[in-house]
Amino acid sequence: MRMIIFLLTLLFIVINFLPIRAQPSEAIDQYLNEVYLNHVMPGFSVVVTDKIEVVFSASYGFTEVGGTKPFTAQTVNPVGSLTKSITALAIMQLMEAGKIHLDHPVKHYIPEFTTANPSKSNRITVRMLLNNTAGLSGDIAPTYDTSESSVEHLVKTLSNTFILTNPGKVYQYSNIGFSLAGLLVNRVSRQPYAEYVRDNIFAPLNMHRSWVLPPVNSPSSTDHYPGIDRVITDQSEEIRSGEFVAAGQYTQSTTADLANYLRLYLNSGLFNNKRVVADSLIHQMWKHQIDFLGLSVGEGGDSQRYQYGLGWMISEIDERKIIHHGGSTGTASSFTMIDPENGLAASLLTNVDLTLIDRYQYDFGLTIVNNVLHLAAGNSITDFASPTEPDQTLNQYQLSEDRFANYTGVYRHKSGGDHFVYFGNPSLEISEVGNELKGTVYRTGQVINEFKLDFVNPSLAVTRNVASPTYLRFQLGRSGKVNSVYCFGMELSRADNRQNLETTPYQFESLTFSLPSQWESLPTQNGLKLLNPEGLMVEINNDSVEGLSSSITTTPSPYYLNIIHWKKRADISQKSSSEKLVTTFSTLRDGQPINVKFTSAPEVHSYLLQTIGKRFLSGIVPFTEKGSTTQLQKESVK
Amino acid sequence: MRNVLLIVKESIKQRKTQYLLLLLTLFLSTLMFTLAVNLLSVVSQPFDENFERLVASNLLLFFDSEADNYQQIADWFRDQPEVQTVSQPVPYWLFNHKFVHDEEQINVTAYLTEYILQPNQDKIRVLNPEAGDTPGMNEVWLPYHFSINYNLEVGDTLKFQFSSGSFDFIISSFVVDPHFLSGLFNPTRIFVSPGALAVFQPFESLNTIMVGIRTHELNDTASIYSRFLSEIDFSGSKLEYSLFKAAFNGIYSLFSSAILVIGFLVFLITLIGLYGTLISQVLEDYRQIGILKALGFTPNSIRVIYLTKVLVIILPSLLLGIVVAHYSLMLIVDYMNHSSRLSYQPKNLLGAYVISGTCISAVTLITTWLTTYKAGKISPREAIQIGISVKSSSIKSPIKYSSLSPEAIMGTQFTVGRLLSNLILGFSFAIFSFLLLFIFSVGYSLDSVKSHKPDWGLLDADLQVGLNQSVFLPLDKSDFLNLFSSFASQTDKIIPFSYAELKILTENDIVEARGIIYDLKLEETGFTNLSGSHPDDENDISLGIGTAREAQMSVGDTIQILIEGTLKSMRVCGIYQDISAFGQGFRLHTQSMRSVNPLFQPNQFGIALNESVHLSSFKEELESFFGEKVSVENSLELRTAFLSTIQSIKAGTFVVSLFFVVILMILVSNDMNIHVNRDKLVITKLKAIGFTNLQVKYAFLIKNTLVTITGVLLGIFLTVVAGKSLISKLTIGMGLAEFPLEIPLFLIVLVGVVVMALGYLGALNSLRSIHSIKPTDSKAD
Repeated sequence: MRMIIFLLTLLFIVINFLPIRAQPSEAIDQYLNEVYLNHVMPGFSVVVTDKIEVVFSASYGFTEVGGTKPFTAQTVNPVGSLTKSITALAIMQLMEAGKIHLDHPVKHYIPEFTTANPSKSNRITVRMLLNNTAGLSGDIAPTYDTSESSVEHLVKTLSNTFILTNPGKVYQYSNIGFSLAGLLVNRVSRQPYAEYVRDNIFAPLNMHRSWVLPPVNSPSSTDHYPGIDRVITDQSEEIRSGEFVAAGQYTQSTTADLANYLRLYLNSGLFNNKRVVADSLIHQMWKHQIDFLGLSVGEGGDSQRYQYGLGWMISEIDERKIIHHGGSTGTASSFTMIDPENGLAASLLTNVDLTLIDRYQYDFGLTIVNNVLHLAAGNSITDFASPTEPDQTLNQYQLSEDRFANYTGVYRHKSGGDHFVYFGNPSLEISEVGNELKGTVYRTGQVINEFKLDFVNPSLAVTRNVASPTYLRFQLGRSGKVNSVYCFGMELSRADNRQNLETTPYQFESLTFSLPSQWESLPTQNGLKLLNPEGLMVEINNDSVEGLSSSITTTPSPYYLNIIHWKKRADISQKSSSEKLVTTFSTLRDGQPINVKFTSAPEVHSYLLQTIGKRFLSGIVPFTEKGSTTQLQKESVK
Repeated sequence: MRNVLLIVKESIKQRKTQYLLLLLTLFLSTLMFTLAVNLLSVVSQPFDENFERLVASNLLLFFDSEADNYQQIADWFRDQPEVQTVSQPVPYWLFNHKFVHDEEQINVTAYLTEYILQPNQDKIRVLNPEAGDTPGMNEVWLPYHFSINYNLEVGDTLKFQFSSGSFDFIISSFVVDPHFLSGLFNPTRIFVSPGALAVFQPFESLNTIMVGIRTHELNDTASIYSRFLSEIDFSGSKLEYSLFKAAFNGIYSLFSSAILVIGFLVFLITLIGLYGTLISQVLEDYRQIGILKALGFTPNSIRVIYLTKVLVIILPSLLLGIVVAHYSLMLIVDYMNHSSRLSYQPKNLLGAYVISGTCISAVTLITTWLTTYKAGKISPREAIQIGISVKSSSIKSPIKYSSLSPEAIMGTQFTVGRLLSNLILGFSFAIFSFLLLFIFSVGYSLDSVKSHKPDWGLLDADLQVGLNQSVFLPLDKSDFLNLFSSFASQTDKIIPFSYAELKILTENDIVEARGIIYDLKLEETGFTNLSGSHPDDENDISLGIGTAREAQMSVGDTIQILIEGTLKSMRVCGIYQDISAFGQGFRLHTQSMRSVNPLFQPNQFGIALNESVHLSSFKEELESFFGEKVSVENSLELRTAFLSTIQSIKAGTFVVSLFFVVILMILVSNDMNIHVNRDKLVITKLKAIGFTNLQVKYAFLIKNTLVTITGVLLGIFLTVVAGKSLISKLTIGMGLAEFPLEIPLFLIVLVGVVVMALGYLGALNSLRSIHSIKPTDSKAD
């Protein structure tokens, strides 16, 4: 008895003398408040859950920069590549149902799947799609199709790609691979991917505000592009091409829903005592499949290698085994971490892309969520993923102001770029602001990036804004004037080299365009015929073009209203005595096809298209009350 | 005259083997010499003839239609008096992705060009008669060398991988493109249908145009282009006639020059052989000449007999040599035509044949006339009485060599006693050894490029690792090197570098160059310079020999370069060679680049592996370790087209070396005949004092060995001393001013053994006549 009293007294003394610590929730809130105050995120939400319930949930800021609607745990936000874990989970379920086998070739389920070197692609298994070792990487032109059929289109496109690595051997992060996995779900379950996920994952997990393809007018947050000391509202809210995003990238969810999703993992496949997937399969998803380079010491890591399981990454972070996945769309992002040892998991959703963020100025998603988990477990925060090396792009060079004129002007997209940037024919305007040069990237009429140019030398500059610095490489002419610029993986050429033309504004249906004054215009039965003195005939009409009109999505997204997405096709025409080449650009406006047909002799066709047709087409803008066409109108007179 | 002909007829009948051998050597030397002379005169013609026939532009301009105005450029050129025609704009797209054929990637950079029919210029020859005037949509016309180098056929499908997707193109024809005739040209040109680029090229990048300018004089481009640059702010680039021609002719010029050198040497050897044969005959005919002289033949008429004999041999051998040379030339022209699908037919060859035939005849007859001088001087009395020239048999006393065996003493005596003729024979052996060793060494050197890459200007690496910049958190140099340290035990060397481009500004031109920035002391790369030293300072630059010539720069010159948008004055510190770029390019040290771009980091790494490391396993290991952060490729050695041409040349030189083998045997056989005949008296004496036939043979073989060894050693010495300069003179046009000739010991031994063996074979054949010499043959006894 004495002993018991002694021990209780001792315990009382020890407890009283322990340092006073804030409750985890308070500490997390305090930390996230600081993050919010020092960050450029307009709004974000963080959730922490254990096996049973949400232990912390808080949101900060607004759904739009400068807006008034608060970002909450119910705010729908893209989760980006966290979708990969959802796709992998769907495959696990189908595997449990005996409908799919991880080590069977993909071709077994999708017979038409092949690449330019079938001897390699025939060896790609379902497992390799889920662990990023299929080797399906590379540039593939995006389409504007967001329907399920877009992934079918991807399979056709893949038949022409060439696999360089040995399948199963090399880690190559691949949205394409996961899109193909989504098609597998579709084929095996005989249900569209989005529906399968809705019925078999979101519904059992009570994730009622989560979806793969958002319903029209879905109540989601507004995404943001990087700007100078700020972020810029994404006005179009466009969805990018479906073949890349459906199963790999574009799920939308809320932190409240994600808490349920994470509890499924913490409970080894059980949610509310209902089994959604076998526990052995959850463990298989977290089993090491392939490893790859983790963050170096300079990048704020510890140079340990990360592992990829099936749709999840597995890492040793701050001496804990963490299961995690980030996600980004270019304008929004997520970061999710599971700490199985402590039985905790956390997720962050925000309306800017934290993967692109300048980590020398702002906290990275991994740092934030890692610290949230630390605090939730009663530990201190760390600087994990905060770079320890100075920004290597800093330099002392100053471009003299008298050379600014060589750079200022509008640059049009010429080639290259990934599907984030390429989409929608971007242009770059370099202008003089104060004693600095500023770059503004426009796409479909809206600003998608702005930055200051920090020159390293006359042909190289670094972008300075809230995003990670990137390089702009200028091609200078002999006089020092810039002819073209390489940036963001694409080449843009100077538009103001073109001769100015006197134009008259014209309107056809819901399009307006600038008609050069030398051109002859003749009305036709359902449109307009324009005759160029150099032999190019331009017809604008709303005929249905066989094989082309049908390839345009029949359910146009409401997000496309201010954007013209042209589909292109060329045909040989024998209408007149001599052979003509016709390149038709088609789009859908209000459910009606609108075509711009360029007709000329084949031998001058490309030349006339590149010198006249391109200018004409880029001068066509949607006729809309909403505006946002100023920039294009400005270019159209060039 | 009738008597002379009868004597000649009888003499030829008696010595038909000797004459047959002589005829053969003369035939071979005529063949080689005539072939070489004609080939050299013909070699530049196929390109020019094709260029003219297809009315090719001698200046091609490449530009972006958004940066430069076609109409302005075309108008400017049309106004120039030197200009004949200016082409319509030809849309093209520089295609540097991959072609895929039968699961294999074809790594070629090409101008994907619309085939626009031009009214007055820039035609191409379409080889498939069933192809239309232009390629159809989804069809492609490829340069003919693709069919050879990549085993492609009409009807095959090529996948073209673009960033916007891939397209299947059917090869509907191969073509002869007058500009890009050589497979060595990179980028080459591929034709698609008019308007095709509008179909499959991303609309945004539909910008680039090619324009052909044809001037009245083919070589008249430098001045007009310089004037053009001074008047028009042109941002494009150009290619011109001299470059197109050099790319095609380089290899053939090298081959012709080699044949000429070899032909000359073979002819020299033939003359030596002829000299030996004639001397041998004069000795054999000693008594007969005495009788003829006694019958009233003058010294000149005696020489005329020999002249007639040689003439009788010359005529068929010349005729045969010229005919075979003609057909050989036709074969080579056919090869040139076939490999590039030209339709060139050499014209007016008769004059060249007459000239080479006359030259060979004249030199041969003069040699005969001079060689037979002794025959005219023979004393009839001595010749009739003794039958053998006493002077010719004056072998010194063997007593002083008493420590040697009798055969060795006699062998030495045969060698020393006929010093001049043995020197000539030794010289022949030397030439043969030189030629064989030279040919084998060139072949060996070409085969061993991999083990001596820096000597060829190639990076001394087995793998090339590039840092992928398009991934999240790309690696930089220090990250890569830190991580790569775990592979250190498997690697021998790592060379960090980057590719870069700059413009060299000269008074009249802008020379664009693509070169390499090295991030280590260039001494560590193993590279050498033709002259000067490696860049050691931020203001130092070394130039490839081709670029140095184009920019007219030499070591020590100051050069104005435009790099990273910055005008920089640099000192040319060295000139180097680089076969991979045909001598084009430059080398800089990182600090030069950092002076204009402080953020510069190398993004390529050449990796040389330890000998025990398996290349493909190591490559897989690297790919697996670094994943998407790097791209790993096998290092560049030589282009397929270059290697295939080299293989052809090696096959050709092998055939040539077989000729040598035949000639060598003839020569040795002749020589032995001469000596046996000359030393008949000595042999008779030796047999009289008890020498057996075998001992006499040994004595001659010892003499043969001494001469052969001396010749072989001299040949090896010549190859070591002069071989490199000789081949380098031939390869300088390809960017190799110092051919990295390797002469390995085993080749020296091989050539030595082959030449010795051939010498013995030839000698043994002739020494059979020793059996017929009897101790009583000489009246002197």
